[in-house]
Amino acid sequence: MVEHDDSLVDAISPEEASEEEASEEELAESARLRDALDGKAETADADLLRAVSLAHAPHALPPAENERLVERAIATARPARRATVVRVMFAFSGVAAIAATALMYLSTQASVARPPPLVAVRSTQALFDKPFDSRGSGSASARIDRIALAREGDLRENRFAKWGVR
Amino acid sequence: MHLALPQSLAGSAIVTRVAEDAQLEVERQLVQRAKAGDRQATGELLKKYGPCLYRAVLLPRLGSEAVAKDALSETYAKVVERIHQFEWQGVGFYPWLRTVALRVALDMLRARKRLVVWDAEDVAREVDATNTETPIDQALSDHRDREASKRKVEEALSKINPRYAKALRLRVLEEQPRDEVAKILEVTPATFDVLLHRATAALKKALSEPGKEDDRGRT
Repeated sequence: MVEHDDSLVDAISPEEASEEEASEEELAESARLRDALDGKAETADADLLRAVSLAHAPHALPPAENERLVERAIATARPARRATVVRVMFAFSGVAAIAATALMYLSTQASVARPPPLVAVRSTQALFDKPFDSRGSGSASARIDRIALAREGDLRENRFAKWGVR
Repeated sequence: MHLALPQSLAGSAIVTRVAEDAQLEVERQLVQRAKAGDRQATGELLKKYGPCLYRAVLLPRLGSEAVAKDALSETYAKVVERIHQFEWQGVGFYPWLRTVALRVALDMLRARKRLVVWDAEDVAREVDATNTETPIDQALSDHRDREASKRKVEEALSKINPRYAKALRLRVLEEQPRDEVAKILEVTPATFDVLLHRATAALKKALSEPGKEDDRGRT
């Protein structure tokens, strides 16, 4: 205390005249702040004062330091994997959709372009085991009935084929 | 003679405008290359704007060279990783870069509990305002950022005893030697130490008080 002026209170501020003189603790903290501002120690108060100084007049970043940070960021950057995966998934989905569309188109085209085969005109000989016997009674009617039945079946099949229900 | 002056001024303005447009076009191409995965182009953009970002945005808000460098490094990493998300809107690269840096600074301020000039809420308001208030021109943006920081300091100093403010101004802002400041204030160096300690306590209190709604709004 002997080092201080006759009246510390007056020296600090007339408006603060009601404040008491510095306590031992305050003197110690003041000394710590002084040392911290001289770079001999670290205190939160000194950090705040440096922050105030930097906010008021910030220093420039040396270009070499900036280049070092840029090079490091570029060298250590992670690839944008998530975006790549999403893009690959989109690509796969797109290709699959195109393939499915093409397949559907081709199958539709195929079904349209190639109508189901119709029953070809053929001989009725295959319907009978024996040659026609004109002398037998009723044999002609029976043969015609069989032929008519076979032709009716062919006609039905061909209609079904044309309607696309076979 | 009287007519020549306005014509020359108009010509000068046109030349400036053409030069700015050309510069913007160069930057657009650089951004396009960077988005396509050209790391060298990304590096060129960061080398161009990094020092301004550090000096005008990160260092004043974070109040520590070491922390500001960490924030700049983190900003660079995010930019390299997310450049493909950037959409060119004809206003240059800097506004987006500044927004990324502000978000990094905000995260760091929230993580750190130490008192600095800017608090997290101030920066959060700035992040919210980036869509509407960030000037296109990088130099103008820097000027506004630095003025906003300086104003915060001046506002805090205006709230404390003038003698305390003078002590802080001479010793901290002007970085004058302790003995010189003591002489100016007409006290012994030992008394000045106590004066500075009390001034610091008063400044902490002033900075802890809630600030204005939006400091950048008045720029």
